[in-house]
Amino acid sequence: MKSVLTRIAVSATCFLFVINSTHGQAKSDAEYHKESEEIRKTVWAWDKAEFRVKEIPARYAGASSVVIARHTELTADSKSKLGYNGFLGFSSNKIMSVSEIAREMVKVNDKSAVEEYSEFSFTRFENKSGFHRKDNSTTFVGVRVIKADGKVREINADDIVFTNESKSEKKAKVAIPDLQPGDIVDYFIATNIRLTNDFTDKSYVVTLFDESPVLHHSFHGQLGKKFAIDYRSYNGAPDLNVSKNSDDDIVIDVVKKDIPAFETTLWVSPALQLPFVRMFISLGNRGGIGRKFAGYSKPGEVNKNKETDEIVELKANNMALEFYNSVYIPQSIAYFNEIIKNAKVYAKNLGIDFKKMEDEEKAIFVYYAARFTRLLDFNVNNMERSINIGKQSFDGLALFTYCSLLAADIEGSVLLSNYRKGYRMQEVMDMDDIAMSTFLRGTNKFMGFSSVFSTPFETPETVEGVTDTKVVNLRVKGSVGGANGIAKLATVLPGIKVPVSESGKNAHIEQLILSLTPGETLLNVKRKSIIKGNFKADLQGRLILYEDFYESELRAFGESKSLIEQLEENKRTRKLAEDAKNAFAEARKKQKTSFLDETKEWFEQEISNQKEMKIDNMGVRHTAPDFIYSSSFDMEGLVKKAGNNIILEIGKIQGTPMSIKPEQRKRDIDVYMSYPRSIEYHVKVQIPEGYAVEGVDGLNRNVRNETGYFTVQANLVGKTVEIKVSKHYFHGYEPAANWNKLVEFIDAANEWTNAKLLLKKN
Amino acid sequence: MKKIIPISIWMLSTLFAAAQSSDEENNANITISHAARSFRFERGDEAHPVVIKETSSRQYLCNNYNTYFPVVEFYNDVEKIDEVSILVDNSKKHGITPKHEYYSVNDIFYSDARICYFKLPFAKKGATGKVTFEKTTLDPHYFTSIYLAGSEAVAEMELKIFIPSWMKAELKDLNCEKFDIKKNAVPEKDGIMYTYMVKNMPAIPRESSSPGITYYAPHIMVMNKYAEPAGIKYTYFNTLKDQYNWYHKLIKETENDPQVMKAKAEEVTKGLVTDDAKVKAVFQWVQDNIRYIAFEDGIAGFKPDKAQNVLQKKYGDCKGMANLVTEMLRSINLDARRCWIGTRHLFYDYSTPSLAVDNHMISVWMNKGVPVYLDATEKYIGFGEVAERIQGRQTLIEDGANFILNKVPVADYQQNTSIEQRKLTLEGGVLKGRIVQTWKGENKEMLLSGLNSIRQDKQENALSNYLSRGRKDFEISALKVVNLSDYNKDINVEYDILWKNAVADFNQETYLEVDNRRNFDGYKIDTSKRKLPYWFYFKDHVVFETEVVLPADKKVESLPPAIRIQQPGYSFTGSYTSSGSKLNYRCEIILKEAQLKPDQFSQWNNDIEKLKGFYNQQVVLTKVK
Repeated sequence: MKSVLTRIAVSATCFLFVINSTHGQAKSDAEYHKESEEIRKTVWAWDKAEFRVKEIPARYAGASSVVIARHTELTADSKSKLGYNGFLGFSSNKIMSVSEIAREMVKVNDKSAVEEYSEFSFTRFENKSGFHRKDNSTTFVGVRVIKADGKVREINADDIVFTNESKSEKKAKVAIPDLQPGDIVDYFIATNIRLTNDFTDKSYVVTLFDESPVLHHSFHGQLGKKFAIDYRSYNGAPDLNVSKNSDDDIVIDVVKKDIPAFETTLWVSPALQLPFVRMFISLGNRGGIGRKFAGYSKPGEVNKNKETDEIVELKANNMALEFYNSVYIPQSIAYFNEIIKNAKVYAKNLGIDFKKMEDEEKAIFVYYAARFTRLLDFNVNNMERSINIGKQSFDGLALFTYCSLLAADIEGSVLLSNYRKGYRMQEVMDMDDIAMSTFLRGTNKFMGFSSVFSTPFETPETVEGVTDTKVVNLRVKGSVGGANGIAKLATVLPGIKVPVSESGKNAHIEQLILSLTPGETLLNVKRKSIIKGNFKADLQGRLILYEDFYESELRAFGESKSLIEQLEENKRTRKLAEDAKNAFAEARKKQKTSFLDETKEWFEQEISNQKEMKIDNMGVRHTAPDFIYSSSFDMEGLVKKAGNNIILEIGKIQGTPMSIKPEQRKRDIDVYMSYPRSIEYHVKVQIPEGYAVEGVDGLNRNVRNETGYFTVQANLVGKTVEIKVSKHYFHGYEPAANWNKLVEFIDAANEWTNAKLLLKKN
Repeated sequence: MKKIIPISIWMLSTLFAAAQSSDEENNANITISHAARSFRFERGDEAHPVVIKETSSRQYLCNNYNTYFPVVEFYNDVEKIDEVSILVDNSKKHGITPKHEYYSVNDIFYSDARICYFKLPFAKKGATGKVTFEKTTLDPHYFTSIYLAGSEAVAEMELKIFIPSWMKAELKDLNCEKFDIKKNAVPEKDGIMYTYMVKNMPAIPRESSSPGITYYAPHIMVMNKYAEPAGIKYTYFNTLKDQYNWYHKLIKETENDPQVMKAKAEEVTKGLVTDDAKVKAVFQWVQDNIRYIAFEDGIAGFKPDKAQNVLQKKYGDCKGMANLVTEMLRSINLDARRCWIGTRHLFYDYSTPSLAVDNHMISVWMNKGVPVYLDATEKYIGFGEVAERIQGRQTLIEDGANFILNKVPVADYQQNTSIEQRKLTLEGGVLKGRIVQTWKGENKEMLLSGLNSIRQDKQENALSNYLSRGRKDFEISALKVVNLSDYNKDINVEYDILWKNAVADFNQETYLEVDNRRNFDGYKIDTSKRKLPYWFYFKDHVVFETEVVLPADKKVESLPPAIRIQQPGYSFTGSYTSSGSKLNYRCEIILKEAQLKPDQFSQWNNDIEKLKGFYNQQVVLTKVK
C-alpha cells in the first residue's frame, strides 16, 4: 500500500519527524486497544455525507480506483507546565498536543488496486531521544471493507502484526482481509502527538491532485489560540477558509470536489502547475531571536499569502547568522584562511604574484584552491568517502564560496531567487523555498559548486533564467553585538536577471568512426565523447578517478609531489600510504567496468572488445571545460546481411531516443523540462573495400521550429560517409501551445532510428 | 512455508555481495583470516529439553585499505542471540553498539527473522576485527544445517560439533568435495566431537537465475533423530514418518470448519456434474479470490491457518491456500490431500528427513488414485498445468496416519508454447496484415501476471506497448482480446498491424526484415562472471511464423540460409521459403530443459551467436522486369 501511505503521508505525518524527546511509556496493549476502539467508533460515526456515498459516477467506471472521500481532521492544543530543565532549574514548558486523523474511502475496481490497498504499515508508537521531556506519538488505524452488497466488514485488530517492537517504537503491518475488485476500502490513520517547547513550523500540504479521481477532498483544522498559521493556495487550488471561533481558536477548512485523475508525469513542475494548499503551523512564540532567525510567529497569528519580502528578510537574517559564525569565530576564520594560505603557496609555485592578481583572476584561483583544499581533500581515515566524492552533488555551497572569496578580499554577492521549477518567488513561504547562488559582485558571473567538478562562472541550472530576484551582500564590520547587530551584516538589494544557457552549451557530442568487415555483423567503433555544461557532472562522477583528478589539480597548482608521496612524507599519514595505493588500484580496476557500462547504456547495444579507454580532458577547469573521453570497441545490432550486400542500420546509433507515448501526445499544460540542451552524433562510416554505398541522400532530415530541431546532414566524401545528426532543445520551458512543435522534432528523431545505408558489393 | 534455508548465510550475501569475478574475490579488501565455530547439544529445561549452543567467532582482516565493514547476524523466534562480543584490533574499546531489527524480506508479509548488525571499523591495512556471536537454538527441529562458507572468503576455519551420547543426530556433508575440508570424529567422555578443518574457503557466489544455495554451497546437513537427555525420549525426525507425524499433528490441530467449507464449495460448484469440473472450479475460485501473502513465523511457518479464516480474509500463505483447496474439495466428497514439497530451489528430497527439505505446500486431488496437483499460489496457471518450480519434485502427500511419497510429473516444453502467426502483405513499402498470438502454460501465466499488475485503465495501452515493444512504426489497431481471463484455456489476442520500417528500398532492390521479435537473441551468458548453472524460469517453446504476400512487381532475389541447431537441451530452427508471390518464414525455439550447466555455456553462446547471425540477415527482393 505504498501509494496510499504516500498519499496520506502528505498530510498526516508532518509532525512525526520532529519528535525529539524520550522516556515516554508505550501504552499497554489493553489501554491501546481500548483507546483504539473509541477512536474507531468516533471516526466511523463522523456525520459527513461524502463518506456515505457508495456509487461512483459512470465517467470513472474505468478507473483502477476512485477516491470517494478523503478528509483530514487536525486539532492542536497547548498548555504550560512547570518542568525541571536540568541546570536551568525549573521553568515553564509549552506542551503541545496534536491529533490528526486522515481518512480515505476508496473504491477498488481491479486487481492492481486490490494489490495496492491490500496491506499497509504504520508506526503505532514512536518515542525519540531527548533529555528532560516526554514526547511521543501513538498511531491508531481503522480499516473496513464495504462489499458490493453494502455489507461492512471491519478489520480485526488481531490481524495486526508487529514488525518492530521496542521501548521507543512499535511498527505494525496490516493485511486487509476480504478485499476484492468492486469493494470499497474505508480506512483511517489517527495519530496523537505530544511535543514540548517546539516552536518550529510544521509544513502541511493538502494536495488536490491524484492519479485516481477524487470525488470529495476536505481538510478541517482547529488550532488552539496559542498556535499560528501561514497559508497559501497554489495553482488554482481553492482558498483556505480560516477564521477564529469564540474561544479564539483558529479554524481552518478547505474542500474540493470532483478532482479528475492527473496522470501526466512527463515534464511537469508540481510547484508551478498542480493545485495544492500549503500551510505552516506552529506554536506561537512571543519574541526573542526566534522571530528574527527562525521565523517564529506570535500566538494567534494568521498569515495568508505572506509577503515574499518577509521571507527574504528572514533568509537574509539567517545568512547573516551563518556568515557571522563563519567569519567571527576563530576556528571558522582559520578554516577559510587555510584556503587562502594554500592559494598563495600554489600561486608562488606557479610564479604568480597573488597580491597583484586582478580580482576576477584571483577569484578563479581562490575558487580552485577552495575546491582542492576543502572538497577534494583526501581523508586518510575514510578513503572510500574521498574516492567517491565525485558521486556527491552539492546545493551550490553559496556561503562557503562567498566566505572563501571574502577571505581573499574579493567581494561577492549572493543571489536569492526561486528555483526554476520550484515555487514562484512571489509564492515562497519558507526559507528553503529560496535558492542561494554566489556571484562576483557587479557581474552575473556565478561561482558555486553543484559537484566537485564544477568550474567558475557556471550559471546554476536550478536558477537559469529566473528574473524575480534579490541580492544579499554580507560584510564584516568590527565587533557585532546582539541579534540585531548580526542581522545588519546582511544588506538586501534589488536582484539581477539570471542568464539562460543555449542548447549548444549543454551538449553531448559523439564523434564516431565506424568500420566493418564484410561477412561479419560487428561494427568497429572509435569513439570520442565531448560533454558540455549540465550534462557533465554525472558522467564525470562515473568515469573520472579521484586519484587522477587530485593529481591533475596538484600539477595545476605546481606541486611536484604526488598525493602518495605527500602521504609517505607525512608522519601522521605515512602508515596509510599503502592503504591509499591499494584503494586507488581497486578504483582503477573498477573504472574499466564503468567505461563499459556507460558505453552499453548510451548505445543500448551489446559492446565487446573495449580498449584504449581514456579521459582526454577532465573538464574540471574553466579554461578547458569540456569533459572528453574516448575508447574503441565492437558493437552489435547495426549490421545486417542481405545476400551479398550489407545493410547498416545507422539510425540505431542513437539507441532509443526520447519518445512521446500515445497517452502523452495530447497536452494542455506547459512543459517544464530540464534546460536547453543538445545531442549530436558526428559519424564517419568507412566503406569497406569492394563495396559501394547507397542511400546517403535518404538520411538527410531537417525538422526545425522555434522549440528546437532535429537535422541530419549526410555526405559521401571519398570512401567515407559523413553524417552529422543534431537534436537541439532550445529551451528548458515551453508553453503548452508549443507542445506539438516539440513533438514534431522529437518524432523526427525517433523515426530516424530506422535510417539505413546499403553497402552494395561491387 | 517457513524457509529453513540458512538465511544468515544467504541474506548476508544478498545484502552485501555483488557477483564477483575471481580477480575481485582474490583481492577482497576484507576477508576472514580465521573462524572458529562450535555447536553443542545441551540439556535444556522443561519447555526446551534439548538446546543447541553455538559460539561462532570470526577474525576479520583488512587486506588493502581502511574501511567500515558491515557485519550482520540473523536470528528468529527459535534461534536467539545470547551475546555479541566485538574486538577491534584486539581492543574492546570501540564504542560499537549492535542494533537489532526485524528483517523484512520482499514478498513476505511477515517473518520472525531478525537481524543484529553493526559496522566494524578497520583503521588501516592489516587491521583486525573479531566478532563472536553466542546463540541458542531452542528446538532441534529447527537446527538443520551448518554452512562452511559465507559471503566472505575464509582462510581457515575450525568447526566443532559435539553430539552427546544421549543425542542421536546424523551429519551429512554436502558439496564439500571440491574444497579443502578435513573431517574427523573423536569419541569423548560423553559423546563424539566432530571437527572440520577448513582452509581457503572462497566466498559463496551469488548470481541471478541460478540454483538455490543448497546445490553448491558446502554445508553439513544436521539430521536430528531423537534425544534422551534425562531418561525421557524426545523423537525428532528419526524417520520420514516422524517428520510426517509432526506435520500431520499440526494439520490435526488446525480446526477447519467443514460446514463453512461445504457451503462455499457447493456454491462454487453449483450446477457442475463431473468431479473434474468441480475440482477445476474450486481450484480457479481459490486462484481468483485468495491473495497470496507470505507469513514465516515460528510454528505458524508450518501450521496452516484455518480454512475458514483464509476464506473469510481472502488471503493466505501457501499452506493456507493449500489447506483451503483441500478442505473445500473434501467437503464435497472429493479425495483431496495436502502435500508438502520442496521447490526446485532446494537440492534435497525426503530421503533426508528434515525441516530443510521442503518449503512449500500444495494440494492434490486423487482422481481415482491418480494425483492431480493443485498449486493455487500460481495465480494464472491452468488446471492440469504444473509450474517448473515443482515439476519432478518429490512430495509428501498426506494419507491419514500414513503418507504417500510421490513425484510431481514433469511437463515438457509444449506446456508453455507461445505462438505468433502473421499474415501480411507488402504494399506501398510497408507491411500490413493481421497477427494472432497465443500463449500457454507458464508463458501465459507470466503475461497475465504482468498485465494484472497494471491498472485496468492502462491495461490496453500496456498490452499494445508490449506487443509493439514500444515501437511507434509498428502500429497496432483493431486489437481483439479473444481470451485474457480464462486461464484454463490458451490466451489469445489478435490485431491488425501497419509495420512501416520493415522494408528498405534502394534503387531496384528492396530489403525486407521479417522477424522483429528476435526471440532469445539476448541470452548470451557472460562466462567471465558466471560460475553457477543458469536456470530459465521454465522450459520454453516459442514459435514465430510469418506469411508475406509480395506485390506483383516484386520477386524474391535471395533468401537467408536456414538455421538448424539441435542440442540435447534445446533447439533453434528457422527458415525462409518462397513460392509464387508468397514468402514464408518460420522460427522455432525449444528449451527442452530449464537449465544450462556451466559446461554447456560455450556451446550455448556459439549457438546464440548463430541465431543472432540468422536474425541479422534480410530478404532481398527485386523488381519483376
